[in-house]
Amino acid sequence: MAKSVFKGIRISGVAGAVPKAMVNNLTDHRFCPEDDRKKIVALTKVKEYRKASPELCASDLCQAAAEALFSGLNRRPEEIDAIVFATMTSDYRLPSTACLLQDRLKCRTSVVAYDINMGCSGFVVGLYNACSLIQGAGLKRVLLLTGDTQTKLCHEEDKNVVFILGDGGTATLVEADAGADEIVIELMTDGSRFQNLYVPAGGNRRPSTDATREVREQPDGGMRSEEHLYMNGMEIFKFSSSDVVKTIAEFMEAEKISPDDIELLFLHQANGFMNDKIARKLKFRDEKVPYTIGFYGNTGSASIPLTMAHHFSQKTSLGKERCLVSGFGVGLSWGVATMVIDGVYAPPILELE
Amino acid sequence: MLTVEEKIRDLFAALLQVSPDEIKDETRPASLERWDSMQHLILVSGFEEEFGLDIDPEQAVEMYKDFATFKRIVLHYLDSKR
Repeated sequence: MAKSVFKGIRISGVAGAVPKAMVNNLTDHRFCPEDDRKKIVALTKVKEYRKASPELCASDLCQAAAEALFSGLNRRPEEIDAIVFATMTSDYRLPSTACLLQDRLKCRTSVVAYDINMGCSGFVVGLYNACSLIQGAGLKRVLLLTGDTQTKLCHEEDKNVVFILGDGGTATLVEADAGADEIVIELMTDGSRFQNLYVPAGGNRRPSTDATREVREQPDGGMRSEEHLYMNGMEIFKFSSSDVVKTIAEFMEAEKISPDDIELLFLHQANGFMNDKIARKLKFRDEKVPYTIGFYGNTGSASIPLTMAHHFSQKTSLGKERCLVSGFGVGLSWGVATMVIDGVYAPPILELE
Repeated sequence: MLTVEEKIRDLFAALLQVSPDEIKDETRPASLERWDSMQHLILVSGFEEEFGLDIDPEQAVEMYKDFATFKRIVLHYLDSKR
């Protein structure tokens, strides 16, 4: 079991950025009948989401969020010891985009910088890395960036994904602080089910060819090529509502925490119907479960910190709040964490052209 | 007066926007084009709303087998409510 307890570490700031361009699920996607569009929106709760222009990368969104954090927290880039960037949509096939961000953010060359190829579990996996670098390697400050421009992976007429997935980027500052409460994180992986959520071709296993680039109607009714994102909706629903719920429930039992002990449950913003089911199975009341899915959609690795940033930026006074966090998706990879958020800095969500 | 089973079939057909005549016990997602994974969740949500049910996610997945299974599980929930 990959469960770890981290001591003397706090999250001091979380910021988010999204593209300015908006997609409206009720009025766009005209390939789908209007009545179906209404039903899908009612089910998923995704009314709209943001879509990056071809020139805008996930790293641009994360960079803007990081700069907002530095400015608001009065931190200098030279104070950062490590940059960890969780993304499925890097700037280049190589190198790691975190290396580019070292330069763009004007951090020291003595900084540790690497990418983690993770999607919806990316924040929890990234936080595990950030905490490990502080507790294990003795670093003081880790800049955790999570972001994706998933709309670039989707065919615009694949109804299985195009109503749900949006783009966003975040920055979270994770710092050593002797007085901080524990952060406990458990990670899970089941690669045997990777084909339920993946891009089948265009990588090294199945290189790009004319055939893999051909767009056609697939057996599930979705329109896409083999180089677009494929999601087996029912298998992912099953995974999220059984495996993920089981992991969270067992984690809570082991940590001796009940829903009454938790102020906020931040779930990966998968889709409204699924998240409602998960929260209900775990017996969390609605007011403890913040959502951003209605206006940002499912933003992959960004969805949890984007929801945190949105939630905390709306509050006028911030106290200590015990949070439970769970990310789950591509891999299949999932994780759960508990932490106390104490006076976190969270500026309003930025919008980039 | 419609029987409960007929009501289930009619609601199922209405939500999928197909004729009730197309719905048989052996109807499966593979044999009914409209019954894809997204439409299935719309079906589950529609039945929950219409009958005031809270269907367990694992059973919601099981219902994606054929109409007979879908109907059996809805009937089970309706019986439990009584």
